[in-house]
Amino acid sequence: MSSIIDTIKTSSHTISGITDTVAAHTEHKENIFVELLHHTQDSPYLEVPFGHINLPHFPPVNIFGIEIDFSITKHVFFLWVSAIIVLFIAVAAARKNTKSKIPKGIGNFIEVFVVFIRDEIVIPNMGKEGVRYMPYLLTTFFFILIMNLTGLVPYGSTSTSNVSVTAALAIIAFVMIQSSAIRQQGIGHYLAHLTGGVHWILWPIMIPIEVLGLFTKPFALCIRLFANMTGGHIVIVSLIGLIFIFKTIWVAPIPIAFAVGINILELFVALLQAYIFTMLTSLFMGLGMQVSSSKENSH
Amino acid sequence: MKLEDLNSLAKAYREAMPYLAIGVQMAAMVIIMFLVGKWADEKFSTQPWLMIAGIIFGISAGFYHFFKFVTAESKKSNTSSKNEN
Amino acid sequence: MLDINPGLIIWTIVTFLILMFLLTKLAWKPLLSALEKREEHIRSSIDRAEKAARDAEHQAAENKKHIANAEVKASKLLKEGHELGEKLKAEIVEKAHHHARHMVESAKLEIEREKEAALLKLRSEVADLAIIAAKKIIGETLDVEKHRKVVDSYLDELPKN
Repeated sequence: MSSIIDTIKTSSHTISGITDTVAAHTEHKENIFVELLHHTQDSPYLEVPFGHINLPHFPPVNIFGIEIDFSITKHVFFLWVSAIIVLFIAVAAARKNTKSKIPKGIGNFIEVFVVFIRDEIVIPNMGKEGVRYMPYLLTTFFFILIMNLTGLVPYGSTSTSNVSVTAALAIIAFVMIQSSAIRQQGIGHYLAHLTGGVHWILWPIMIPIEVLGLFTKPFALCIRLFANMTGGHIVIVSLIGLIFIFKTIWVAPIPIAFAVGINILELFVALLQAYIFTMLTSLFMGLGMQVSSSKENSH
Repeated sequence: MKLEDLNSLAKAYREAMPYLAIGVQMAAMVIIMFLVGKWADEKFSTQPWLMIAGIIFGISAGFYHFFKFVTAESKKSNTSSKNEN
Repeated sequence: MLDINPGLIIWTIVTFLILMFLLTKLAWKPLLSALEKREEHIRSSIDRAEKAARDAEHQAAENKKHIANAEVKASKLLKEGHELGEKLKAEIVEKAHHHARHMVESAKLEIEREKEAALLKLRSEVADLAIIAAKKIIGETLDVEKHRKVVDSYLDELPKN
């Protein structure tokens, strides 16, 4: 059994975290997938090469009748790791670019993304006005990107494969979409837009429909990111699981080759999902902002 | 990948994304209203009426937003294509 | 899998807001302003370069015009110089001719004068000789003064040459 694990470990670094979990449960074949799926979920400990590190646990706090558990979990930990990585990279890039006239290395690399987000996402969707919201969208893009990527590192975990994390990002997106619309149109126009421009008798039907529309946009953002990031992991985990189902090392190369391929695909998916989240957030912000400006443009 | 390729890919996504997103939003509306209805049913013990009402409302809201989006989008693409000409 | 953990939501929002605050202050603003500055710099550089190119073109045209002008002028000057030279040459030659003629003329006059003087001397010599000869022939009877007058009057009757 250990020889199998050793082979896998040397074949693919990215799955070494999974194999530890798997090794303990190979006897219960029917439970393998359930156990494998646990790997993508939150846990109160960190997986390290020699076992587990328990993270601090706090007693739940009761706020407004809701039990809130502020314990540091694996996903909170990787949330912070990602935040620190983003901060480090972005500050290094900013230092480099302000120092020299010609951007090089990390400064140039980050600037390519910044220019891309500005010229291909913000300005086409929101116009020149949107440049004001650049810091928010840049933070969203880089934070989600790095969170997506941390799961591809051995023993790492993807915080965005947790629906709570993506829900929180969607809540922030919701606030930004509404506040940018109110800022651009004024509160009166914003509320008038919610009635859908129909007769006031229909308002009791119309307003819930429009309000539901406001909520589903970020909700879809949340579910899309969560599903994509979880889905990729489930595919990798399932492929590795095949080895233990067949209980032979001879099938190992095929799932591992697939897993490595999927991992490369995951790199692309991580980038793509960060892009899509940023793109759609700016699109929704632009839709809210252009209700008034598009009328001006049409004349 | 060249930057131009990336930009054209971004342009394709930018144009296709609203249409892809509206489908997900339609589904999301039904799911949200289903969950709200189910929650309300449990709270007021009126199973299964509020859930059914929620689903119907979700579906109709989904269609409303879908048509609103498609008409707005086709109008937008018409004016932009006119502007190009 | 779909369990919502409010604590994690709050942690995410707090982390995100702190990160956004720090990044805006430390990274995005400097990055965007550096980017804008550079873009502005590039735009102005291009403008400047275009202007310089236009100026250079203008200057080149001007230079061409100047050169053409100078060429015309030079050829005119050359022509003028040539003409002046010709004129001077002609004048000098004319002067030389004139001078030569003058010299010849004065030489002729001189010769004439010399000839006259020589004739005059010859004449007086001849008169003296004639008197001497007549004296010798007639024998010293004649008054020298009287005879002289006779001979002179005779000589006057003679043609000048």
